[in-house]
Amino acid sequence: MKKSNDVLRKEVIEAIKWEPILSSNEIDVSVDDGIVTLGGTVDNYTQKKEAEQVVKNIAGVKAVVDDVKVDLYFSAIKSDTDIAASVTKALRENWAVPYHSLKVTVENGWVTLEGILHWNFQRKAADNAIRYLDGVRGVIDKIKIEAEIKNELEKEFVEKALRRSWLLDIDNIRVRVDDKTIILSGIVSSLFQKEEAERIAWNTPGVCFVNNELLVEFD
Amino acid sequence: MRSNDILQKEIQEAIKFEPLLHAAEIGVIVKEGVVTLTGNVDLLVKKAEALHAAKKVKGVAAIVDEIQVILEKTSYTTDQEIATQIVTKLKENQVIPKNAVGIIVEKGCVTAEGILPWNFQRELALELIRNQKGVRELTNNIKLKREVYDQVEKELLAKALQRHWAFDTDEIDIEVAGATVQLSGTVGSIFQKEEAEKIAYKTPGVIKVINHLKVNLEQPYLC
Repeated sequence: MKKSNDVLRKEVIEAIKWEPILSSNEIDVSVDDGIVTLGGTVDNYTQKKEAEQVVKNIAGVKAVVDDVKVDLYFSAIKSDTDIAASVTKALRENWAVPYHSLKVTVENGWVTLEGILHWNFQRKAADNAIRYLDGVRGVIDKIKIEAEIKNELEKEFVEKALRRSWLLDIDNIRVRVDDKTIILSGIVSSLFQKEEAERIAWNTPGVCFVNNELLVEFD
Repeated sequence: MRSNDILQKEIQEAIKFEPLLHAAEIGVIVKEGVVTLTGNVDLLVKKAEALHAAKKVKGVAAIVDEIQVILEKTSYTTDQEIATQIVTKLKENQVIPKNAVGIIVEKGCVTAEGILPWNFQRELALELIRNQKGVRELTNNIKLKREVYDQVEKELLAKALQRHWAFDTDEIDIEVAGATVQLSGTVGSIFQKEEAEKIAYKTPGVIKVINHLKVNLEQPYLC
């Protein structure tokens, strides 16, 4: 059963309100054929990320456009120098992030990460380490992934990993391999699953790029 | 129902597929859908990661976690260092209320105490501690308590579950008693069982969730 724009919009609003961390925010929601656009302002970057995440779990959402702005409280505003110091510290103390491979620059509360990492989970860990820090308005991710392992990518390996997961129905997913790139196409029934498939693909030894062309179709 | 041997192999592969666990020696024993994980890792978070990977494999109904955290002598962290770093991280986190969580560290074993308003804050605090180098064990003594209690509305929770892509709510029964919610019925995976509990904890007014959901692997495929 396909949800109408109005029904889906109502559900998104309710889902955002359901999250204790977002309940007092003014987030605007508009929906067009399963594509949800979030607007308005929140108090910090954590809330912005949380809103996006919450919407991805709703049945019927095909894509999220995140136009939410972070409007920090006056007391939460910190100088770029202070932010840079706490970001550097957070990355250094996170065992999953090879911090010496990353360059951090901060401008008006926006943190830019640059550098080369071996694994995508390290990139996620870096974003996670920064997300909850005071003063951060957003993260600009310019990290490149270069696999340490130079094996040739094996399509069967990716397919097998996807098949193991109960979250996915591999019969509707197609895997292609082109040099160091994995291309996923086909159909899944939620954005959450689309991202899980991508996460699994990123775990394949030797991968440097993942093109996620999966379509979300909710019937 | 998959045979024990196939399931055992798949879980082993799933664990090995996680980049964090490439080097970890984790043993997998399967008996009638019940999975036991054994072996040693050098970080508490790797233990959680192995558990997580195993849970997502089709056909897993329950997991017994016997993985131990054995720290390398070369990267020894003193209790003092562990405590200082955790306290700083808790303080810098904007989601966890300041000074609400206290910790005790003894030979790498951490006990977290205190009172928080929400379960998601508790989960975040525990995750943060689990990620700390040098921590071998984590005991959770954080209690949930709020200033204001809303009346728990069962329908709100039912609706929240219904919105979620992973649930067919006909299968989940909700009972409310005071600030406690009890979930019963059947779901098709451990993932759904845990996700339902997390959602239930966010119901306005709820302070305790009793999760009696059963994982039934015979349940038709979800999607």
